[in-house]
Amino acid sequence: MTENSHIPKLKNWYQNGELSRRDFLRQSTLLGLSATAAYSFVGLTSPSPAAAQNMPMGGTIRMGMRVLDVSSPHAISFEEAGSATIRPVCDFLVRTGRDNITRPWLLSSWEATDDLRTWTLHVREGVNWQNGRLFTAEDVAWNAKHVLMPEVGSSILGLMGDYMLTEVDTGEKDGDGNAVMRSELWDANAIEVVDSSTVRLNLKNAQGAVPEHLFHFPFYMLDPEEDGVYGAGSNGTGAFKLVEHNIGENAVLERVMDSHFMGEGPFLDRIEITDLGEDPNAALSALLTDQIDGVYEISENQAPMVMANDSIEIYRATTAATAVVRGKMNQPPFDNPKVMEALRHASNGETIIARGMRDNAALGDHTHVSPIHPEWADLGPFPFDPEKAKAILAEAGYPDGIDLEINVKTQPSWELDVVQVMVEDWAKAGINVKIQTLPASVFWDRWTEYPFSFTAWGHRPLGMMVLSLAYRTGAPWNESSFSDAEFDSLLTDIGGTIDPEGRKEVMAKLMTIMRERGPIVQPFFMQVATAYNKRVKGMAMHPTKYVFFDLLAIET
Amino acid sequence: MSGVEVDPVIARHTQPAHRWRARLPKIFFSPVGLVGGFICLFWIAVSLAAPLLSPFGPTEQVTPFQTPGMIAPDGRVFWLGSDHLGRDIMSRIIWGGRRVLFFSTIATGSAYAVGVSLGLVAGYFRGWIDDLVSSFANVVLSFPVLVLYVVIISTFGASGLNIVVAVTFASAPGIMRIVRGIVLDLRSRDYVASAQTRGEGATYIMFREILPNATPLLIVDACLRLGYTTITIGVLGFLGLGLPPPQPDWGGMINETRAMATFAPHMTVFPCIAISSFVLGLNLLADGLRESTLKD
Repeated sequence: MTENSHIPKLKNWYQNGELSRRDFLRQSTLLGLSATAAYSFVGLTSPSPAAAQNMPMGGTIRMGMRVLDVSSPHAISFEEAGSATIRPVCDFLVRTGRDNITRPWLLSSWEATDDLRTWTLHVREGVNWQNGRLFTAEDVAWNAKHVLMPEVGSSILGLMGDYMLTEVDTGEKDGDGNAVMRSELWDANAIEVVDSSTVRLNLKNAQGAVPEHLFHFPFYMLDPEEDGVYGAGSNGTGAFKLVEHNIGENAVLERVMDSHFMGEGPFLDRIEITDLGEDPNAALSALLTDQIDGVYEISENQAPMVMANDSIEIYRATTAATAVVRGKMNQPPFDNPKVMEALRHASNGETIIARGMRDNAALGDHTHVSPIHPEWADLGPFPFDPEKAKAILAEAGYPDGIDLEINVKTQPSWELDVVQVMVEDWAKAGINVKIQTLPASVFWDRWTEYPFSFTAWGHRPLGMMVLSLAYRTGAPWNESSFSDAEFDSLLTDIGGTIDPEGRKEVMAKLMTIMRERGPIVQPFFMQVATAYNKRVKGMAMHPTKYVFFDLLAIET
Repeated sequence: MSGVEVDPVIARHTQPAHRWRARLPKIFFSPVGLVGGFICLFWIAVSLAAPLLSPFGPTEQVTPFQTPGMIAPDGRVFWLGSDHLGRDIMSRIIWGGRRVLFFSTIATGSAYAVGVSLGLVAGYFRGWIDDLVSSFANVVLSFPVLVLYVVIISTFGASGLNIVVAVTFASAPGIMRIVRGIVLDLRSRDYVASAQTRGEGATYIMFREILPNATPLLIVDACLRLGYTTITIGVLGFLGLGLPPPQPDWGGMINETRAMATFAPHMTVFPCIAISSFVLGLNLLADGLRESTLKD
């Protein structure tokens, strides 16, 4: 395997101080350098999970997590349900660690051509499905094609659609006489099986973050023989089998492998998931009374109760997870971008963080790109200026202020806290907002349809990933219906830019668009936290909140 | 002894000290009812005087997590402390009382308007109208009330209007059954027959002859139902389905702060006391009214 020609450049930039250690590690490993070699180059040792010999074997872990319909794993939009009932059974091709470094998992390695348009993925040898069949390149290709089928409805389209798909004219006309378009692979050979252990992705455009895209949570490797449908008894390459799955009630997974193909674990015999409903306080109560061993997530409001209990440990991670207020840009009054701009100027990030987030968050700048993202560009702070907001509103045709109604979930409770703080701020600029609360289940059913709402977004390792998922024209998760040709073009450009300065330059343009005419108010990035009984070993909070049960053990 | 002997009972009522007492409503002779009435009047007065009594605005965010008695930066006092967003709890209870009392009264009134009308019609006309209305009421009553509330509010969204609709839908059938039972008894009374003989219409007889005679019983039930509705609004707020924030309501205040009850109990306890005291007041008032009715 030959080293990608960009890697020596990265090494050079790192040695000259033009590239941070974090950026070097992330980009060199994405281009195929092993994590061990990359860490070694910067004089460090690659972090590894808890040593297997110290982990207790056997036992049952009892979790309080949502048990939802996961019959179509490639289309799910609720990560918690995937962590609970899919990921222990169906693996990813790669895993991006807490250190933001992407490592091979079902793949053994990958390499990219210098133009970043051809990615060769090498399938790990000797991995079997639970039914004994060998995991091959054909399985990878089937899953890649399935997840990219528009009718499946996967959010992966927002990430990979730009470089894997193209729009074709079906020859039909819609009611307005416009051509009906359909998405399909841009080339018949876009996903190419080279041999039984090699898949090649031939990209329409250059893209440097393909391995990270393979870690997006719906990208599970499903058994092609099950045609993308998942449930109790489904096949997988993971260490556990789903033996019971009752939506809204419970799920049970049992270990079916003595040893994992990655060498360590699994340690648990059985995973019991109980759905304790939307109210996180119910799950917390169950944890505090020792009825379960862990929960998916806790809020800062709950942390003091947990800290008072000596048998429970809190795990935290600093993330690029956030929540955005977004307007639907194809509906009035948000079809005038000045309305959202006024809202941004009327939002006081410091107050929101202090009161709404109890200081457990970092300031955002309304771009949805975090300072922990390697390509983040410093555009300077975005000041709170209600007078400017009033002036912008007047320009937009609302000199006497504007009345709006925002849709917010009632759980988790911090969301309502944050919105209430913002509503107080907005009122100072003449923006009077009525709050419409909704149960989470009702909200998520229609989350992309509300004219004006508050949506939590999970962590993504790259800013350009989240911008592609949430703001590219036509992306399934583009909840604001934001559509900006210059923005889309810049997103395509940044995917193929390796040079760190060039990348920051493009990102600065993208972030400027978000600030000037974007569809969101995004004043903070938050820490995420979870809590487990101290009996549970091997736990570490992942910024994405993914739970990896194959790395957990329990003392009985 | 000389002269005419006077009946001691008549004598008592003709003495000046007793004449004004005779004119007082009977509730004034029930200590339980008086206490209940006083509590209810207290909350009504507090709610009406909210702009004068509350030291802070109901949504004004000042300093979070202040314990009772602490001073705000501008010198005002958080008499009952502040909540996690820095809002004064006493002011929110006062303003919240206004909201809770308003919506519980409107919702109960609306349920009564529908329930009484249906009960009068079903009990007076009987026959197929009675069968139809009673069957519908039985279907609605077969559902657990809380489930009905949650389904209606979850479907149509949390708002004051939807709470009124949900309470009306869930409570009117019960009221209808009570009214229907009373009407079935009263419709055979002489004064109803007399009105029919005079040629009065059905509407006149139902609303002018029968309803006034059913009122004493219905007032007792209304007091109790007002308490249930207050609790319902509190429960819906607790479930996150109540009156939308940031304007306060007592149940919503409890729901927002309950996760922090172990380290800042004042944020939860005072709204709980507000709900409990008002519902207790209504129940005591209903007991007093029942006592008075039984004395008749």
